Amino acid sequence: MSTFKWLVRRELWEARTVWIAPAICAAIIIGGALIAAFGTGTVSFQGLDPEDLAKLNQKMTPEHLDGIASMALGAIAVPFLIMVMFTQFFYAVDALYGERRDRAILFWKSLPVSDARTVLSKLLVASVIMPLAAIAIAFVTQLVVFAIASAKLAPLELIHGHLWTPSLWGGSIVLMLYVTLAGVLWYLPVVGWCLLVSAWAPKSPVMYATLPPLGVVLLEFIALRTHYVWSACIDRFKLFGLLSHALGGRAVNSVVIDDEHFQIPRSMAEAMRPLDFFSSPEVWLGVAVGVALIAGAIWVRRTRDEAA
Amino acid sequence: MATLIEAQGLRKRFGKTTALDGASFKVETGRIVGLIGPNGAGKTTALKAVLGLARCEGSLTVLGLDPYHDRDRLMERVCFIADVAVLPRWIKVQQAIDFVAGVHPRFRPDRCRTFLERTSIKRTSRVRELSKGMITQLHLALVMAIDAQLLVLDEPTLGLDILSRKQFYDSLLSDYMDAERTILVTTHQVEEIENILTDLLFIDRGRIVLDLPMEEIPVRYAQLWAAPGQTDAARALKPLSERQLLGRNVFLFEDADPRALAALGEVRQPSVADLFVAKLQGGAA
Repeated sequence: MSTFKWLVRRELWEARTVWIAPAICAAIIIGGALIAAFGTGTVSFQGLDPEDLAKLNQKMTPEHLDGIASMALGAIAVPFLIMVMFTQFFYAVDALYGERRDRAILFWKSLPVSDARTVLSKLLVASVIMPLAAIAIAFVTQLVVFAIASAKLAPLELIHGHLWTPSLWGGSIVLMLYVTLAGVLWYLPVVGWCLLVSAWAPKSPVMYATLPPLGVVLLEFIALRTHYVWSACIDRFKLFGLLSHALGGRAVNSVVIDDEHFQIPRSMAEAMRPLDFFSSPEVWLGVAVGVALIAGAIWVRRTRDEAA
Repeated sequence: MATLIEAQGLRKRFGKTTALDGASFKVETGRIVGLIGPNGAGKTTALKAVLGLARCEGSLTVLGLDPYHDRDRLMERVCFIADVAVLPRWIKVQQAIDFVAGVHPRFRPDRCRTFLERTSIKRTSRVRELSKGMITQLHLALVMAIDAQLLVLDEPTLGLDILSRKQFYDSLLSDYMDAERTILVTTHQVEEIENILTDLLFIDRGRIVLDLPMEEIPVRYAQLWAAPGQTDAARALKPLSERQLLGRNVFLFEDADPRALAALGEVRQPSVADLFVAKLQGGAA
């Protein structure tokens, strides 16, 4: 097991995007929040100015205000979840190609470490550590942005008293961990595909990872005028594909706010559909495909004869 | 003496090219074996088979293991330097030491540090900041600190200047080699390793064409600088090769009667390079 720990550590030495990408994301969001709060602009939400908001504030029940705070936390987390899909993709696509490109694979292969462990260490980083690092930094960003919001909104008494409740933060953390865990399963075929291409591609693995699926999509469209492959691929790749399965799609669609009406779930965490998600055949089919692709990546790394 | 590597009838084809065509050889403990052959002779393929990196037909055991199937276990007892500059460019010297110490049960970090202290390599440097010679020194320091039974070197000094090459083999001999260890090395610069080798393996077109301990070279091979007028007499003794050097005819003989040769001119001990050229031309004829 200690070998595996060192393999993961090695990945983290090399792939500093694990931390850098979410840190940049955090800097942009916090910078934006600072400008919004202390710049010349005024507080507004969906085109409503402070007076409207104050009126709205009067009409809202405490449950509604909790819901708004919860949505705000969710809104801060979303850019991190989108960003991490891209870093995962580029990391996984390069993970087994980079070591071949710089021929360092011959050094790694001179050590008593199996191909399976090596590939699994890269899988762990792509599938689990990257999103965990992203939500950890998202959490810090939420704290900072809410601190800024507290400072700005306290005098207006807008949503005051609803920003720091334990249930709000507890729900948010549970939600983020749940989405991360669901994402590990949901994205497994994508990460597995990337690792396999990375182990095999003679050059430019990004092209080999993207062009063949696009080719199949095009072929299907030309031959059958349908787009099932496209839907399946894009569903696996975009964040909304994950969220609509993990959250049942309701959380995002059920919110209505205008002058007269508002309909807000009390907490975003209420939208979690773990039973539906973890019992969905679609999820486990994807996991099975992912496992097969990862086994393929291990096999290719094991048998591929470098620079024959 | 224990047999470390035993290869019988190794065969490997890549499409239409035959890389190994029934190569058989043995390597015994405590030897420094030079595997020497022209480009495309099958050297690298043979080494890959020994290291379990490629599958071959035929039978092959290394330290009693099947290298391809028991590769992970084999790598605990076998080390290799495949080429210069294969260390990952992003890694820091200290990280490389920590990593190898973490995954290799036979690595001794203190030994590695002692080797590195003799060089100008800083432990905070990244590999990409080091010169080619320094990268090789670092790689050698990492490998020499592993208590391995077999060290395989595939063109380890390619592209290095002559000082670095000399340094490389000097440390290998003085700090690493002992009776328990075995080295298998390929190189094009035969002259430079001639005096450290204990055994020769010549490989040509996938076959072993010569398998000889160094001490047998003077016993079995002789180079004759034929006296003027003795050229035809020398040819009659069926030399392996003949060439013109400094206006004289130089012959290389295998298992010839030394007294017969002495009568025909000046007899010298052939160098490995002489032997190599003669053997391979002989094979081609």
